[in-house]
Amino acid sequence: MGFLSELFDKFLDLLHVVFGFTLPDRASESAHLVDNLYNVVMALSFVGFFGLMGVMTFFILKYHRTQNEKSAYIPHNTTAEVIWTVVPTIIFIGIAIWGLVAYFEMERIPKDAYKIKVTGKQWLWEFGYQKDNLEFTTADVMYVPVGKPVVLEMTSIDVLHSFYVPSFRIKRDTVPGALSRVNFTATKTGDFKVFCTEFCGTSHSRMRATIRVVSEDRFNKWLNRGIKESNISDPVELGSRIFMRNCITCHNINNERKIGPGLAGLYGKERTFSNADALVADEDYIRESILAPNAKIVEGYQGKMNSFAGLLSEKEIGYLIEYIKTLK
Amino acid sequence: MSATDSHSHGGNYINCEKGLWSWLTTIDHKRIAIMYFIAIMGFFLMGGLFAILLRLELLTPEPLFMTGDMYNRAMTLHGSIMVFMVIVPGVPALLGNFALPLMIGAKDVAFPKLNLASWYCLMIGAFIAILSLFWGGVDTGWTFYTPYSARSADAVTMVVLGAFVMGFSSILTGLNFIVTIHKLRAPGMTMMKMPLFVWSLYSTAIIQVIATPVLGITLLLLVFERTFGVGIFDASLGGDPVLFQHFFWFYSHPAVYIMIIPAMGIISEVIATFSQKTIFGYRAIAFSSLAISAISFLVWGHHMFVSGQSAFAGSIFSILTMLVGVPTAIKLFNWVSTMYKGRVKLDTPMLYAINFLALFTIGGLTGLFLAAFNIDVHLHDTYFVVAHFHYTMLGGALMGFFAGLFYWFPKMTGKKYNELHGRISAILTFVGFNLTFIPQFIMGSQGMPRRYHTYDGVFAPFHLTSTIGSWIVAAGFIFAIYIMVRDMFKGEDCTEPNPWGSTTLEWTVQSPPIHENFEKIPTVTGRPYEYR
Repeated sequence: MGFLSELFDKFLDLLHVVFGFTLPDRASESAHLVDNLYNVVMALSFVGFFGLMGVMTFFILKYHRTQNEKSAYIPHNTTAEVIWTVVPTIIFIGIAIWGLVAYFEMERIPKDAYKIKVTGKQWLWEFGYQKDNLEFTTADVMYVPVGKPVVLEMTSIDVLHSFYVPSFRIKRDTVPGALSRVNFTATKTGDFKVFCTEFCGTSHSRMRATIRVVSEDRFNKWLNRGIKESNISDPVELGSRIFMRNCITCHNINNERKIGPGLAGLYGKERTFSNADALVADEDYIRESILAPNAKIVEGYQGKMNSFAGLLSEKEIGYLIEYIKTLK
Repeated sequence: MSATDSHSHGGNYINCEKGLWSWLTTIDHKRIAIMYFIAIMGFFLMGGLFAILLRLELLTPEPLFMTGDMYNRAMTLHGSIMVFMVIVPGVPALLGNFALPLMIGAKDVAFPKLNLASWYCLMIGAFIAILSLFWGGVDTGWTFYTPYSARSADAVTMVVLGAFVMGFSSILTGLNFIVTIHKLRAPGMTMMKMPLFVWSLYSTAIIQVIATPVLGITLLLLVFERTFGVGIFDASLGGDPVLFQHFFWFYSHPAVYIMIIPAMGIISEVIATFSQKTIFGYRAIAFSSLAISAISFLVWGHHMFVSGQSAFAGSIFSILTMLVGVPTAIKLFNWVSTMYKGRVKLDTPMLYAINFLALFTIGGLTGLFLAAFNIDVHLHDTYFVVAHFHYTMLGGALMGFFAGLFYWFPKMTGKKYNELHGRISAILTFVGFNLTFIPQFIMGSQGMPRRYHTYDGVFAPFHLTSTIGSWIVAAGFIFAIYIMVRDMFKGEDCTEPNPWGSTTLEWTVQSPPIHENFEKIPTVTGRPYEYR
């Protein structure tokens, strides 16, 4: 038996070379379950199509009106009809059974599968991770560890979407108000495309994402950082991050001049301006400097800063102020 | 309606009355068929125009000249027009109307006024649906899936109501045909002596009468959902969005057989005639039509393998779907066997029939991939599906439709069409069709999703080939329509009542037939297709 099944596997590999070359690269453990049957049906289809067309072409040429004086009278032939009823029935049912057995194998979710929440919304994919009761949500790029079973628990918040990863041979609709599951085990590292395949409106064709398969090590590091970043509650820490992303290009956190003034010791100190009366820097002043920087321009500087109104939320401005207050 | 001249020499259904009003109020099945011809060809060109625009837009991976919303609207209109206004009414309402009473030796259909009402239902429904263009258009796709369709633009209500009204056209035509076939057959014509086209119309009519009301109810529910927020399809109100898909496909899967079975009937007629040989396996072909229409009601769930439907339900639907393949395969074998030891002649109708055989075989075989539960997970809603249903609907139903149009052209018009031009059109459509859709199979297997306005650059060469193909297939069909319209007026007279040497009753009367079809109702003694 071992030899026979090995031979059969070799045969399936050969079919894949001949008929499966247009299929995307296989990157999940169950991708070959789809490909095997695909290749077998493709091979049967080639035989069926060219067989039938060959016979038809032969009949057309051989029995063309110029070649044949009189047509025969053959109303039917029971033997032929029984054969071409029974044989396709067996083949078709065989394909169906193969397909559904393989489907159940693909659908079996391992108990230890790693859970990721997927939410479809017009027009992006959101991915939710959990660790030690802490949550972390990201969009567009889903990190997964290589070689570990992953189960996606999916839903939608607006209309139907469908989560499709060609390289993994998985696809499942996300339905508002319902939870759908799909599982895979990635077999190689790299980036794999995700498409939305259920029509969802204007930017349906832009609703794409990436699955980034990485080593378990790298995955854990990425996850820990993500969890940490999205679970910070200290306003000063949060403000510092916002500062580093938005302000550091022009403002030093010490007293040295950059494009704008350094901000150390700013809070509670008197400031003089080229276009306004001097005042003691308080929260209102810092807020105004972020939202309307040129209302009061510090003496000795040019008003080069653009407003951050609309770019930072009220909450973020609050964190930023808390951080700036701490600069000494 | 009096037909004063029709008995005198040269009188026929076309010239027995004059004026536009005589056409718009006619209850002659042949004249109604001509009115369907004009309407359906208009719709076909409109639906085709949208197809060409879509293919043009897809030349480049990033937008070329349409916005996402424009693309989605054009895609929806292309699908809705082609399904509801061209393919569903195409063969039964046009060719069925013309040929059915003639083929069974009847003076007209059972309910001539109802027949005219069917035409008006189609026109009113189509008018409402097309009018939606001026209310901003519809972007749901022809499938109107909820919850998207429940939230989308107001014009959805119009298109849905249009489709609802057009549904009545289909139901009434089906009802009319069933009664006609049961009650108006000429003396001696038992059911088993009916031509196969009549059998196919009978099978189709059963689906039209049983399935179409379900679509009507579903579309009305959608309108209620939109207007009153009843929540049948809304999870937050205790409904289920997937329920819509069950209702929709309960009609729309049998509906694809409304589209293909009558085309299969035409193929049976054309292949027997142009092989000058009795059809092989008459009973098998007749009963396989009935089998297909029966099983077609039990397979709708194969559109929903990845919708969240249970794996158990999916398995059952997969097996049942495979069973539909069996009668389909039987028909293909019968048609090819009919050519065996026949006297084959490759005139235009036969070329279109061969187009049908080749393309529909591919359509059927690729259906196996989609019916197999696990393969469909990969291919569902990709271009593989797009190519598959174009092979069955355009390569199957419409190629059969054109085979029938050219076949009955001399009978309908009393003229000959230009044979060389006809053959060129058949070859053009075949070449263009394959160039358009074979690349789509490849893209689909690679994972190119359907209904995409923009796409990954790796698919660009395939889209380019497909777009070039679409120009050729369009040229072929436009040329075919041009030939028919031109030769309808300017063609050589066809005085021979039976130019192809057919054996069915419609070829025993003069071309074009008189208003009452037969001078004297014939008595049928033998089977059809007695080529000896």
